[in-house]
Amino acid sequence: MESVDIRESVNANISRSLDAFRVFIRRSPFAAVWGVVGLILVLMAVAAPIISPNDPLKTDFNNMSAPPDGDSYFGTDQIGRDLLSRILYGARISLFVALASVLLGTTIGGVWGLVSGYLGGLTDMISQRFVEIIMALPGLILAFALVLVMGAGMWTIIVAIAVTRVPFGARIIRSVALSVKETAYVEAARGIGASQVRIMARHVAPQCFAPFLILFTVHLGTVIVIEASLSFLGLGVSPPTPTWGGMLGEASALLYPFWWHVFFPGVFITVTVLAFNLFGDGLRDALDPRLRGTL
Amino acid sequence: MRTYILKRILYAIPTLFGVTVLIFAIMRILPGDPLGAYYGIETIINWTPAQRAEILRDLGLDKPIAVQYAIWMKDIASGRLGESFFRGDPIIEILAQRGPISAQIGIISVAISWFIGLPVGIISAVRPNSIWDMCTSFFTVLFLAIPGFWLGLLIVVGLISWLQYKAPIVSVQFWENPWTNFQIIAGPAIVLGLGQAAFIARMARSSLFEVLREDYVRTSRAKGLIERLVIARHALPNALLPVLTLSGVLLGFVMGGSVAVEQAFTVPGLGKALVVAAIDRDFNVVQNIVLFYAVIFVLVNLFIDLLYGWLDPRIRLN
Amino acid sequence: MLGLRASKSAIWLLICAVTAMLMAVACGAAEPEVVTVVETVVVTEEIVKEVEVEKEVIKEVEVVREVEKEVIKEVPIEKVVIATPSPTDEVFYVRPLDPFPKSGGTFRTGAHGPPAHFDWYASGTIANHGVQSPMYDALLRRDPRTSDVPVIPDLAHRWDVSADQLTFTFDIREGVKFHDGSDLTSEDIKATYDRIIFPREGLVSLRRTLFPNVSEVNAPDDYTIEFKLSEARALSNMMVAFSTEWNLISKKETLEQYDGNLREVDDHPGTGPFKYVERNDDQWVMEKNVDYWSPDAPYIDRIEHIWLKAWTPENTAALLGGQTDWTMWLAPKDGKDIGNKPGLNSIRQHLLIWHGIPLNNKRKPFDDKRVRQAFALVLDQQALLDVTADVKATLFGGGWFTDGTPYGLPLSELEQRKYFRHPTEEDIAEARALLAEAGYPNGQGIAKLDLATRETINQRLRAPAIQAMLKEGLNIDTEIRVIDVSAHGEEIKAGNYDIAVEGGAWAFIPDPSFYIKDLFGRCGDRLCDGNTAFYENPEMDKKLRALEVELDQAKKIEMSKDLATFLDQEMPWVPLDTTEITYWGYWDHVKGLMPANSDFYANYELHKWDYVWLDR
Repeated sequence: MESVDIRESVNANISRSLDAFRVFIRRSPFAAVWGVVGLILVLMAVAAPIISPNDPLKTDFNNMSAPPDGDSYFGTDQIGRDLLSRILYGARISLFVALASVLLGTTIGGVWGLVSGYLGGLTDMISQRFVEIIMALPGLILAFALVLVMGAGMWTIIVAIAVTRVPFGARIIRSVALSVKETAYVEAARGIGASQVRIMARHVAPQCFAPFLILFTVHLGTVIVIEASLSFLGLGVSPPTPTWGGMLGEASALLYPFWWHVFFPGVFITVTVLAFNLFGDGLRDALDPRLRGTL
Repeated sequence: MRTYILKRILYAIPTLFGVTVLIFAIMRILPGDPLGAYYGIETIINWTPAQRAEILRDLGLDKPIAVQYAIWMKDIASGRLGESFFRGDPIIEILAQRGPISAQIGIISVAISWFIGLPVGIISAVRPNSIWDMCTSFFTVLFLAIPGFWLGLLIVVGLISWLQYKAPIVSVQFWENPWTNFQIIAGPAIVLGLGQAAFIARMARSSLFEVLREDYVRTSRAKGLIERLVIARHALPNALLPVLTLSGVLLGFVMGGSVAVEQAFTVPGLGKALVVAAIDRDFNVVQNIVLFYAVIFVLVNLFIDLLYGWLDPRIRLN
Repeated sequence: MLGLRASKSAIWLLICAVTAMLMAVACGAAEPEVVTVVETVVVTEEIVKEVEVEKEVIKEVEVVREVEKEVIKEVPIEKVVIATPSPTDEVFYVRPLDPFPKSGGTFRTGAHGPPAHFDWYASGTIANHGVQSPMYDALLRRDPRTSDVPVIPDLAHRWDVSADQLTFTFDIREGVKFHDGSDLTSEDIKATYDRIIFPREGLVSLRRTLFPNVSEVNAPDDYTIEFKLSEARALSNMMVAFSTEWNLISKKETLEQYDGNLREVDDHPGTGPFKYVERNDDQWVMEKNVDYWSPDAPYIDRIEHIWLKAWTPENTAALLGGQTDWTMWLAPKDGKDIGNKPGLNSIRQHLLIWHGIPLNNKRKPFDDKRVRQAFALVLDQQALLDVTADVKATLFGGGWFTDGTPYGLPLSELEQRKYFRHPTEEDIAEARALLAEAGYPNGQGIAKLDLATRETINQRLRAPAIQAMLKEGLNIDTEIRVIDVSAHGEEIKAGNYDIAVEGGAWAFIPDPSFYIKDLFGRCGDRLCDGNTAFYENPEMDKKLRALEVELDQAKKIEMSKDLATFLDQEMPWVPLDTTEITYWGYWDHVKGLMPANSDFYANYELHKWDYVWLDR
């Protein structure tokens, strides 16, 4: 009896997702195109060791700050490292930090919101106060303080940014959980004596998946900018690891920096943010337009 | 309505209390202390443990954490917020000098975002998929993607290269010299304003786009109202509610973003003070500035909640 | 049932797979393999030229006693000229060299700051006296009007040195008034120097090291101050110590009131040409002291010291955009061409700061001098300096001793010395042999070394360069560890590092017995303050002691040559550079400074501004 219920709900869910995907392609072809751009960027990062023309750490003291030419398409940096290779490798860090921190933050926030929304009552009220406390601190400022505390490094930056994403997940998923809680099939499951954990995992969580996916994509762009801002403020991933924000930080030490030091990392940041934003928007419009006001 | 207001305000109090605890906890587990900045990183000197202890005692850093927290609470209650470790300056003076400039930047950027974002969004929603819509969408997504500090850097370098112009770097309040004050705040306000305007335009477009397809709008059209009135009188008020909420959320974006943007423009605002104090480990200044940001953020969102409740009866009755 | 499980887990599996893939990517990226070839560097022509100019400055030291009133002639930095006005002509004033200086105007400086506290006796940064010295005077000063910056009178207008060089007596100007209207007497100067030389328990005094041999300070009458020395030192060293702008005179009453601790006192009376107006987080404002003891001076009505950090783009932008009139902290790349811009000028200053790469002698493998020598052989100092040349300039030159002094090794000689030249094939081979001899063939047996650095732009660039050179030359792996600025000094002093990207010490007195001792010697029962490499060797201390007490300049130079050879053998750390360059930039309307495009050697000693006027 119970399994039939679930099968129907999940099957319905899947077919709805497939529909949504078709709608997504049809309704926002641009977003789909940008999704492909995002995918290319990710692939580029993954394939960096294969496609980059040079070792990103290989210094050449005879060729410091050389302008773009046939040897190095994007020029070289202050200690003669190939900028194109550094940008390709930098994509790994920037994208990984973005994806990992959003995934971590949204997942923690999502579980939190799910439990809090489903259980309701005092638990919900207290947990919402905690969410509000974290939310009261502007994202970049909170991340800045946390990285200061934990020391700059890739993992600390991921954790710091993830913390700033938790409240978003907690709020949105909570509201979904609240509405799902009232549906007939959840009541039915409760009626036949399913445990709370089981109901949350089997019945409520699947309904939260679409908002989760949307949250995930929509926040990627924001997070990439936060990471770049932290690097700009001197709290980036440690050298010699290349990151886009770090390259900008190094270049902006001069009033008139070499243009290629500034231009290429900036363009890559902008394009990446653009791709994730537009893809996320399209995805949201296709999957769950109700979330428009809240994300 | 009164119970709604009271309830909202009561909710805000524990939040603010929690914020102080959170900030304080973060500050006191920070590695490093102000002594490095105290003696200058240009010089490496050996002070004896006794000298070190004496200075830490002077700064009040030798007391138990709970006592330090209590002292901070007392300082907040007294309205002076304590003193900077460095130079012994009262922190309230730093806030009084830097706060108005950052506040102006924030308010003007919000105003810019509404003045630009709203009309753009409305026209796009009314004429979807027109050339105008395409163009504005392009600029909207572009400004959403460009990091503010980055745009700021480009503007500063551009102005200095072509016009030999640099905005004043010493803080001047509006009532002291409006023109100088305007030059200080113009750059960051525009950059932050454009960033927000993109959000506002996008939200206004999608929200109005949907409202225009609602039954009651169709009804008012059927009733023979001219299109302008339909939009202005019936559709817009409802479409603006989500835009208003978004603006509150965006405030966090402005305050966070302003730290990096103020740094890029060398604006003598709170953001710059925060970064400098954080690097020098002037915990007293950092925790008070962060608290100040949090208080403003909470209060503005409280205000928006109340406004929302006033505009939309469903919410206050819920 | 099976189908639904599969489809549900498929979604999660996908997420897991993506995450795992990204993790793998990032882990791979976090520690990319270092495969780097260090190549030799051709020194750019520009730098060669610059060094050549400096070479001409190196001349014999000559202590001129009882010379003419105003000493303005070509003299190099070390050639300390003591102006001792004769009794008949005891009025010496610093006046602008221009015949008709104008009065009035506001002078806005781009000042490195704000200072963390106001006690300049306990401060090692220009953030303090760079802005505080206009309000105070010192005993002697350096002449800011010429690039030789000779020693000239300030509050002391004439002085005597006893035949045994054990008593220094200074005559103080009469009629000098503090800003509160009271008279300056020798008691104030005694109180100040007691604060500097004999600080009470718990007070920090950074300039105490300039006077290790002063046993007492006396004020026999209101206008005489007397220093008793326990042991004679080279006269020029003593005069440099007395003339530094760091040792500004406070009022006795003030020092008593605050028990010598001026950390939070920003406005206490001085005798200087400018008075306190206001200070905040943006700037420090001062106004003309109309009762200043020097006639006509100062010429400026008001100074606004605007806080801008050294070597930042903001500082250059503020000058170019006309927000400031003068700054001394242009980033080298900006500073080099600022003189070409219409209306702007530049002056190049060599700060006497000594830099090297500290190797922790307390830890393995650096307890073995062969390893230290091997490191010095493969590290290409000139390339390491080139790496940061745009953001923070330091010039290669001088070797072990300050460039521009008679001790500094000429560039032609440095190019021959294997530890300083670009590493040749033989140098690399020798380094590898030394390492093998020490028991670490091909770098084996050396664990990944901790390369400690702090988050500043020059260290961010230099650290990877050091890392690459060590990997390529000696197959030694290092891990760059960024320490927060606030904790960096403590960490290095505690010895929690293997290699530090940069260590430094001031050559307040440009004599090896001062700075080499500070870097590698013992001071009493402990290591000296600058000895962050934890180098200990009684033989070194013996050599330094002999150099310290030697009074004859020619002999000192001979002894320093022997010391250089000894340092080569011992290699306590890897020497990098001996002066740090900063560019002054200023608008045409700022008058009274030394000629544009001058190139001079000094520490922070020319910031009183009584000699500057504005032509607007």
